[in-house]
Amino acid sequence: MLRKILAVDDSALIHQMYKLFLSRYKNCKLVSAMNGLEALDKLGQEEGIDLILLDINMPVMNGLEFLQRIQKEPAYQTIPVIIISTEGKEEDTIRGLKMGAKGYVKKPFQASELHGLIEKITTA
Amino acid sequence: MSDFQASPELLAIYLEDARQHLEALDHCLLTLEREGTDPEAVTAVLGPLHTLKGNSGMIGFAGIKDYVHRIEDVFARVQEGALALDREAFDRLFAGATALRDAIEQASREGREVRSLAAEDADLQRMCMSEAAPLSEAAPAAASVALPMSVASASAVSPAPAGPRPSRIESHYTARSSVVRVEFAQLDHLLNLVGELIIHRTKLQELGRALAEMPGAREAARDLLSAVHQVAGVSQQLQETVMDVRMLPIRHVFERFPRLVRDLARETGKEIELILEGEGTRIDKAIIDEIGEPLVHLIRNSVDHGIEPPALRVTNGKTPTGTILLSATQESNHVVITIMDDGAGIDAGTVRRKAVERGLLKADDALSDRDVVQLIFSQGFSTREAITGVSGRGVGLDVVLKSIERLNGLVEVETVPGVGTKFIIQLPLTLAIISALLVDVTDRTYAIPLGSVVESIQLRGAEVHTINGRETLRIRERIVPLLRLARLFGLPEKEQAEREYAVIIGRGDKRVGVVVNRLRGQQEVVIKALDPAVSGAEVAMAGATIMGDGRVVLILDVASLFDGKRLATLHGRRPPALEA
Repeated sequence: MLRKILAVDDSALIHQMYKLFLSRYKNCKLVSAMNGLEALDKLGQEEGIDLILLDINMPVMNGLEFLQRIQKEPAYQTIPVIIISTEGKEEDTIRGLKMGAKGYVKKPFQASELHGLIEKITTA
Repeated sequence: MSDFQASPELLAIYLEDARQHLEALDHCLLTLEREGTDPEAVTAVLGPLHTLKGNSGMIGFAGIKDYVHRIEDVFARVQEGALALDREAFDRLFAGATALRDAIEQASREGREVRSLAAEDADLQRMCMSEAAPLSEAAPAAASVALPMSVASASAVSPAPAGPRPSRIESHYTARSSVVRVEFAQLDHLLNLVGELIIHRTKLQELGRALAEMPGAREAARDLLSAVHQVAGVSQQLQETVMDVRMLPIRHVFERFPRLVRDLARETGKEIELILEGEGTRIDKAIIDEIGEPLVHLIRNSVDHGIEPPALRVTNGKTPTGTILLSATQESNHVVITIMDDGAGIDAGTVRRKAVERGLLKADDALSDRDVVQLIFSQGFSTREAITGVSGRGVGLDVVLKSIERLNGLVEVETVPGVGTKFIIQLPLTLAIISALLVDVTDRTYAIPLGSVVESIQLRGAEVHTINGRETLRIRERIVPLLRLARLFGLPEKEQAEREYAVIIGRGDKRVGVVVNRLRGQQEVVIKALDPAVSGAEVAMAGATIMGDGRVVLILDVASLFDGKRLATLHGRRPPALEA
């Protein structure tokens, strides 16, 4: 049962699309952050986040650095992370998976792809 | 491609984001062309491109996504030192950026991709391929592969002083944390509500004062007025905050000009450096939306008629590269935009001759050179014979004047032949609320924008002289023509009005005295637009406002009063409204 999803992306469009794509998870709150640093803040402010959707290429603090930071925090390292990657940055996705991310989808992705992966990861 | 329908809302967000990313691309190309391969500039553009690629894919524009990917490839190769950009490559990249912009704008409008980028894509692909072989051997000398400075500066168009450039590119790509997107229409609605609130507050104030006059109600009146006072404070702050939210830095307009000037310079074979100043100056979004076109027109004018060809400049003892300075500053409640070039200037003699030819001026008119030069803004002045690809497509500077006056602004030109020309545009900070002087004319109230009011004086019959069939007033050393609003509006004039006032209105260094019966005082008024059918009369109205008691008061369009005067002096006859 998903209660809170933290979506980290520097694109307002992607956040809007998450809102659309994730509306099927009733009673699930979507928390948005525009970069890694803001995402760390949100983790501190919001209790009970049980999934993170993470873009890699972001200003201020990118996704890989964010991932590295939360992997060092016992309180956060158990939260499953899905990497949202973009064509041409495959090596970053591989690094992210090695750092502990549970899975990835590549932009452009369809709602069904994201749902499938979320279900697979959260019911595992 | 996607299992969802891109809604207009999503498309709008996509387009707004994409425009920022495209600006970053233009800035990066301009920097590279001017300064040679700058790794920082390349790094700064990769982020926006990557986001644009991801967004284009998500919204279902696969062709656009692929083309952005191709551009990323080009920059990646430049970064690796595997590709050097020559003049032709820059032309191709700039053309590609324009095509991409067109494709994105069209796709966002239609909700699907219309314009194919296949040809542009093939172009860039060829560019990457052809360079790869010879340069991979030269790769160790990556640093020196950079575009030779001499070539870069020969065609340079500098968008800004060199120093802060990279950080400006960066600023397009900073996090927009804690930012909420709001439809401008909603802000407009909010402002209208604030306007209503102010109207009702005034009404409450009047009620409180009336109550205070009634015996036995003093106590209640005092409480009421004190509460109204509180409400007044809060509504004032509310109004200021809403106004502030509507303001945007003028950068939103300026940022397209470096690219424009670069392209125009290439087109005309001129060398031009564009310097931007004061891009952080904030102004109402409604003005931002409208001021772009007039500025484009004036910049085109400076490029085409101002800056001379390099050879001629050198002959005249100037540097081969001309300079255009575009700057914005805030002065009290106005924003002043200047466009200054170090070009040929405008010859007052030529303007005078053309103006006489076109019937705008009488041959024996004793207008000063400075005033004569302002005639370039007159309708019908634009010379057909001077049509070029850059400016003067049959559209004259009168269009610029009209656009700026529609924004309650002023435009003037100062010029020194052989040295340069300066266009000065003065704009209000906002179009929504103005301070106005309320005046009564034959029992009707009108509002005059306070920004144009120089002074108000009580009129005594003796000071009014009739010169050439026109009433005038002598104020200190000036002879100021008088306009009787009652006559202008066809209202019955009060016979022997006990008291009359002249409100002296200024526009540049011109003055007109408007005769009214009573001065009611100053007030902030919220402007409501009028239907053009109503405002398009002989003396146009700038809008209307609603008073505390619900009455509608018309706001005078000051510019039109001077138009009347211009017509009168230039054609040697009075416009119909002025015939007594």
